[in-house]
Amino acid sequence: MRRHLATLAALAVGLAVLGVCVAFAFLRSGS
Amino acid sequence: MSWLGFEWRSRHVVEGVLWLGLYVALSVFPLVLVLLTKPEELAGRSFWTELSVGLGFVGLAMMTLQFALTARFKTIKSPYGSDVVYAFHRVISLVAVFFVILHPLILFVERWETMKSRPITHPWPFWLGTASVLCLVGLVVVSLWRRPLGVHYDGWRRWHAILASMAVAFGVLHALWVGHYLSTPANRWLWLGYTLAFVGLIVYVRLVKPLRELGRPYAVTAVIPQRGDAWTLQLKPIGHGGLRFSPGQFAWITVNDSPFSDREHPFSFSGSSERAPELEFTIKNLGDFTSRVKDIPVGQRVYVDGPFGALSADRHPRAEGFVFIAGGIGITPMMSHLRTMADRGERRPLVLLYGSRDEESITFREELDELQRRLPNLKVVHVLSKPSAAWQGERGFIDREKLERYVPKGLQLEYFICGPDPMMDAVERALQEMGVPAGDYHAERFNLA
Repeated sequence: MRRHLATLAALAVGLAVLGVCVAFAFLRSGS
Repeated sequence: MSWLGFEWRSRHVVEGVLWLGLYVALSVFPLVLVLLTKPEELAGRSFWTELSVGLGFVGLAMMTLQFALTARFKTIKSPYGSDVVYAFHRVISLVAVFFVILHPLILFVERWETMKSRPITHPWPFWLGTASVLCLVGLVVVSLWRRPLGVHYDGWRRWHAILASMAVAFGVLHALWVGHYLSTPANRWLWLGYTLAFVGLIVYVRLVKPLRELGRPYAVTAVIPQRGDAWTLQLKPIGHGGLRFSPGQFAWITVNDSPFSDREHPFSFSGSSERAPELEFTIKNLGDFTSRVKDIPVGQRVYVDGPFGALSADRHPRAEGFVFIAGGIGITPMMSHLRTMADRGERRPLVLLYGSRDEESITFREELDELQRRLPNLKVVHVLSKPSAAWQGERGFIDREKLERYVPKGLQLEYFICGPDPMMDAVERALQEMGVPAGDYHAERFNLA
């Protein structure tokens, strides 16, 4: 159970980081 | 669930969210700094180029953070248990590797036409980046398929550390050499900080910790054979006060005259925490290092890094009773609990459901009989999968029916589970079906790779 939560937490962190990358690309490219 | 129990868990949820927030912040900070410093000479690049660069930076920062996750800092591990931190490490590493691989892939796809007609203008950054990605791919392949590939645990640990260090070193050199976003002083300082933290963590794990252990050696005082092809190592500290642990915790031990050896292995304490500073570890022969435990001579120096782990009844002082569920050598953290509880004169109801193959493989069989005398409220139930015809006790595996039959009713109980993975999966499923709240059962798994 706790390990499943750890896996979900890691995936959530990955998604959050990916979101920031996309926002960064938008802001830098001006698109 | 008690109000205090709820408060304890919510505190850990809040702490967990804060740790995750810090992880995200440190991962994306290089991008935030680029946005703040606005290097104008790079303005006007395409969305896909910027996304690729962003993924590269973030992937590299996340890889650097892995070294902090696995450096065995007790403040990170103690609230959650080591297996949770390693489960997070495993998945987040795959995410980081995915980002790192996307970085060149997006650039290749976007610039395919120009790259076809033009040779690579900066070969060194290209090769450094390629070397970093290859190290990462090797790392992932050997970690996910260590057993099918026939790689020994000690060799895997050594190569895991070497490949991870090389991947980060090549990656940082690649970023420095390309230089675009590292042209501003703020970004250069930031990456200098990340690099120093990365080197500092390696120095801490490989040099500072072993140096500290050098002054705290232990000596083997006895090597005792047990049923079930297991051996108990008894240790005593030489010239220092030893360490204090809670029952159910574990330590990394190095059986070597030098603490600088990277051949260290995690084992649960099997002795009573009330008998510290003497320590006991009971180790089953599973091949590799464990097959040589019986040959360790009395007097051999041993170094102990610990305690670690959250699988302890001491964290649940308000529980009205405890259920211990063990399979095979998973009995060791339960023995530590029962021995400690006997020394403390525990009065709360205790149940041990212990799965073994046959009568001869029940590790600690005689001592468990003795513990039932010392602990009047302890019930030990042996469950044998292949018993002799004369066996009078339970047969088969630990399942829902047996749990329902032996677990006391109407009490706020805490459950501890340790054993082979399929057994732990089955028991966790059975407890779920019985309606036991997920926060009331606890398991730690040691299959790191």
